[in-house]
Amino acid sequence: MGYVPPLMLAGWRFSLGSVLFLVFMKLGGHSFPNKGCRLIKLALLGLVQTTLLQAFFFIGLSLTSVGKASVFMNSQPL
Amino acid sequence: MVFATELISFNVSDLLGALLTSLGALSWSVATLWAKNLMKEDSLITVNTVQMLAGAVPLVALGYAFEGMERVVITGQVFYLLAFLVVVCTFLPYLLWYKVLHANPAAIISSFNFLAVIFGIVLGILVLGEPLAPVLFVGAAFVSLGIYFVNRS
Repeated sequence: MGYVPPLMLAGWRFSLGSVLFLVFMKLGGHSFPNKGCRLIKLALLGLVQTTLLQAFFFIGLSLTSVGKASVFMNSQPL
Repeated sequence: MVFATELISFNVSDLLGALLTSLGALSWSVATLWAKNLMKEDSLITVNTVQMLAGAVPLVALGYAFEGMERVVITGQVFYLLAFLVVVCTFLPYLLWYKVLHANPAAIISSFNFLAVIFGIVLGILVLGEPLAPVLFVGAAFVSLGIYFVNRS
């Protein structure tokens, strides 16, 4: 039976997902921000939205059940 | 509600999992508000591409550093499930999420995230054969009511 550890799986998932977005971006005629500070802001957003979030979710999910994890995942304060 | 079930079947691993997923939820909220602000200057596709690219690289590095390749067992099923995860669970939902976030108030659309609770519980039972805890369904009912009231207001 196949197995990929949680962080590795998250890394592969979002790496391949970002490749799809790159293709979509090029096809749609979008470009990277030309200001360095904009790029840094977006990269920092990526660290919060993708790295931190997925690291917490994937490791958390591997330690508890899907049902319980999905309840806690949605305990977000917004 | 969920902590009530934790007390019935107390387990340190479960509690640590709950703590980590809650921290993930906090990251999600911070990122949602921040992304909404950043999308005023860049297109949603650009925001999505850059943030995902920048976020994925450290995840791969962390995976290699802490988990190592020796535990990885690649089979045809892994390949198929990864492709599903990438296209159906990553590319399409992120694209839709940012599109909806761009056009609507963050608090309103975030309330729909709570539907994941219901899907998570039902699929956990149906697909993974997880134990049926009636108290989780009571919690899911409250979640549904919450979505109703947020959208009504």
